[in-house]
Amino acid sequence: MLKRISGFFGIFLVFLGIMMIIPLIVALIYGEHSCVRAFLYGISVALIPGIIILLIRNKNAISEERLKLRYSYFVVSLAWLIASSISAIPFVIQGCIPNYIDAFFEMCSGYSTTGATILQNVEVVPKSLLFWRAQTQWLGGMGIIVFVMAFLPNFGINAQNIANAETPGPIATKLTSRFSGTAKKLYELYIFFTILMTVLLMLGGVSLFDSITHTFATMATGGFGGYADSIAHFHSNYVTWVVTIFMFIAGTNFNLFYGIRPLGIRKAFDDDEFIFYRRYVAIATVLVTADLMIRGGYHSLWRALTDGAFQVSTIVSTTGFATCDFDLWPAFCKIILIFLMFTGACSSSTAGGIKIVRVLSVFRMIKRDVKVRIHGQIFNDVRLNGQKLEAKDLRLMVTFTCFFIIMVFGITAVIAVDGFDPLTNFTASLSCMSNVGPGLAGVGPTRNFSGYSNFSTFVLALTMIAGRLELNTFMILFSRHFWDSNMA
Amino acid sequence: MTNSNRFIINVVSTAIRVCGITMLPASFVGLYYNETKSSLILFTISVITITIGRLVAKFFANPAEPPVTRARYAAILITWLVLIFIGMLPFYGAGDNYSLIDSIVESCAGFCTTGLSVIPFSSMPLCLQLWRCLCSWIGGLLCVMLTMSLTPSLLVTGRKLFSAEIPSLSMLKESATYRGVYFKLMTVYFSVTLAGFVLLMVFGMGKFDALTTALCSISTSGLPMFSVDSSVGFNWGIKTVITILNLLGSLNVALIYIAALRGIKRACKNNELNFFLKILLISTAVISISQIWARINAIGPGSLGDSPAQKAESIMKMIADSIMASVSFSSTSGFITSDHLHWTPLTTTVLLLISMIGACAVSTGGGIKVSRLVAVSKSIRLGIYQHIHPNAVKPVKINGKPLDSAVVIRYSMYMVLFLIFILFGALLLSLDTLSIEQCFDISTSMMTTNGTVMSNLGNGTQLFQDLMPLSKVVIVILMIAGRIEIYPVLMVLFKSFWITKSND
Repeated sequence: MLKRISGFFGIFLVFLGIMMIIPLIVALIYGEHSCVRAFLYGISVALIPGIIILLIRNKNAISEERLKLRYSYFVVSLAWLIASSISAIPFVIQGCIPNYIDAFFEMCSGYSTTGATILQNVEVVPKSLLFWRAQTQWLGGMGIIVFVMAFLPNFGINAQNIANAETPGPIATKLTSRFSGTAKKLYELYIFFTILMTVLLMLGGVSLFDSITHTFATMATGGFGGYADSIAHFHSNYVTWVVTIFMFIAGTNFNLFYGIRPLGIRKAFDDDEFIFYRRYVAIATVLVTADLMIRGGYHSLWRALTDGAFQVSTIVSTTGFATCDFDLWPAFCKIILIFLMFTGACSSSTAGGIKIVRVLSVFRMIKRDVKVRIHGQIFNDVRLNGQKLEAKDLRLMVTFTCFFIIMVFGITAVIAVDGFDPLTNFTASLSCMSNVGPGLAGVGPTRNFSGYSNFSTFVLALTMIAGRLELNTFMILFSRHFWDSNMA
Repeated sequence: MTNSNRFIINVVSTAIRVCGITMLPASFVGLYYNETKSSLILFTISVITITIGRLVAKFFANPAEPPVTRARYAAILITWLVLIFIGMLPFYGAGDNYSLIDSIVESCAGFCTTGLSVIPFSSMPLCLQLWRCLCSWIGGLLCVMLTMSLTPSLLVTGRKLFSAEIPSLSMLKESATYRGVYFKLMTVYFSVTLAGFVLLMVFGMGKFDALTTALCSISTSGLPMFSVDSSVGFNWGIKTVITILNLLGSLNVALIYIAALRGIKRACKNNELNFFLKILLISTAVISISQIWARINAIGPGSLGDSPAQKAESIMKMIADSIMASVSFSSTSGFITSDHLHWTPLTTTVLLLISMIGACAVSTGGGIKVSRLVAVSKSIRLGIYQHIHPNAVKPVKINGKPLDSAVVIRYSMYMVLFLIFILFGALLLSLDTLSIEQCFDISTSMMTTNGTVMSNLGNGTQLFQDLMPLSKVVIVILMIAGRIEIYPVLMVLFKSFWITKSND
């Protein structure tokens, strides 16, 4: 097994090193010498072992039978941890985050597209490091390994398995017969939206640097901004609405966009999950806007709608930007945001959370179950887009939902050792598990995670990765069965 | 008259008869304490209730055929609503001009074994205080009976009674008929209450207090009649008796039978009991360590005492407090016997979580129920296992027997539904002038039928009194949903629930 995955990790490390060259160039452009040194260290930590592994690996091993499914999950989990650990190095060496655990948290937050930060003042961080932060989100958004698979040769690892392990949602859809083709297509779309949004932001008067970093954060539904007051910094309704719309797009199932050409827009988006998603967002926006007008102290409907729509969109897509301090909003609005944090957006998007497809299926299951209890027995199945969902799929979906809930509460209890109030802990745990970023109270949009101890920071960092990889992929590392294959 | 309606009327009439009979002791106690007016009103309501119950039962005999599933859920819901209505009458009629909604909340809190109170206990006549505690007592008993007999898929004849949905009950095949089971159940319930009453008096509690405490403890409804200060001030004997009564109330009735008939060892083999005890053990350990650690950090190691003996004593005291707190919250009673002002956030979180998990199935406790959590956690582990071995065929096993996949799905769905109800409850409560913490705390404590609001410990009555009428309606719905396990309440929202077919 080790032989077979070593080749992959060699390539992966080289890829990581190459990716770090981009912020290095940014550092050179802005003349940030301390960052140049930091990135050179980072690049060498990634490149040197990567090249050595590639040179000494056994080339014959890769042509043998493909890797077993369970090792695919292992590869994915390990790759995400390695990526976060190595990417943290420049922050520590440059000195803006002196504590390695904190830097690791920041990078886990980046790759998992959470956007939670321990930086108390983000505006003093050098531009190249801000760029690197944003770039990690963009890489993590669609899945780092899917990215590697799309553009690099096959290293004996079943691409579909990796995609299943890394793609948000119950099943990774195939658009072409080969998975690398699908990955390529998805990335083409991802890049298209990224360029489009960058251009649109620049048209609104945002600088190139800010446009790129904020686009990376938006399209990946990450939420790292370059300013303490996030998107509110730009004081522009235009920018707010552009970001709102692109966050909504980033929370949509990317596969649907491929239906536009053959089927037309109406049919392509005639998808149960998407219909639910857009209604859900609309209802939440209306409720939040109404409460902001009635009890939130807003006097302008347009202002309330802008803030309401932005905040609903940013939380449901699990981005985590802010245009205002929603921690000061009425309790009603905050509870709606907690609903949104739990559910997240569509599957096969860059969003986190339980995912609308599961929520929808569980709702339909509950509806069916109540009907069974009323009538004794009925014969209609739980369907999604007209297709019957098998008992096994149903069990997996509802079990996942329970697992998610249990983990959120479990992590809340674990980080309670630091002595913060239960609401802070609960929203911190939920926000990290759903990859949102900010929570409420002590981890609200104007606060950060720096108050937590090293232990809790580390736990929350792992929570983000576990949430991004949809729990099971990551949690198998903690199963005895994984390490002892003969165990029944 | 359709089969279903006949069945529902029959169940309801039985319940109101039981309710009327239980009201009698309260009215006699009123006479004993010279509360003539209140006790006469209680007596009148009691006589009318019993008469109506008897007459209805006489005219509408139970149908020979088993009723359809819907009718059983309807019976549970209607029984509960009727009981709350009857229970409300004494508060409204015999009390000190309490408002209608307050009387309803008080009665509902009683029957749902929630420890909250919107009417200050000390201002109530003694007979009403006793009636409030009797409501809890009878609520606890009826809840067990109704879940045992009416929950669908627990079909009506003897052996099949305990099957499908509540796995641990399949161990019990003692009685072939309902009547036998009920009789045994009532005997156990009554004798444990009596024993508790006697023991509490032995440890120095007054007659009346001992009676109300015993009634509320066995039904896991907390101690709404005492302020937190006075319950903290109880002596160790009283605290221990209360804790044991609550623990007994939160155990699966079937397991208590099995322990009594075949020994504790046999009962301990049960997955649910095992898991429940583990939860208690872990939570006690975590709370003890957290409290001891916090005390040392805040005041220094000297705070535990000077000599080793003193240190050991204060540590033992803190461990005992932790045990009591764990039992109190996992049985969803919510009484407080230790200094809650110094609880750490970890303690509060753990207590909140164990109250959500709740007690064993078929007990007087509420919450998600341990048996469900056992099945769900096994299903999660199976999910991870199937990720490692994708082709493995392995069922979820409870007590060594495979559990049907459909049942596992139902358990998981219940857990999700429980959370959805808490979230929606909090959302509706947030229309009031409450903070977000209070909304979640109240919603959770109503769904778990715990009644203790974590963010307002020691001042719950005032908080509930100040709620808007709409919020009071919300908490009544949440309490009922939490008590009768959500589905009967949820069904009301479905159109097909209201449509009667000819063969029903």
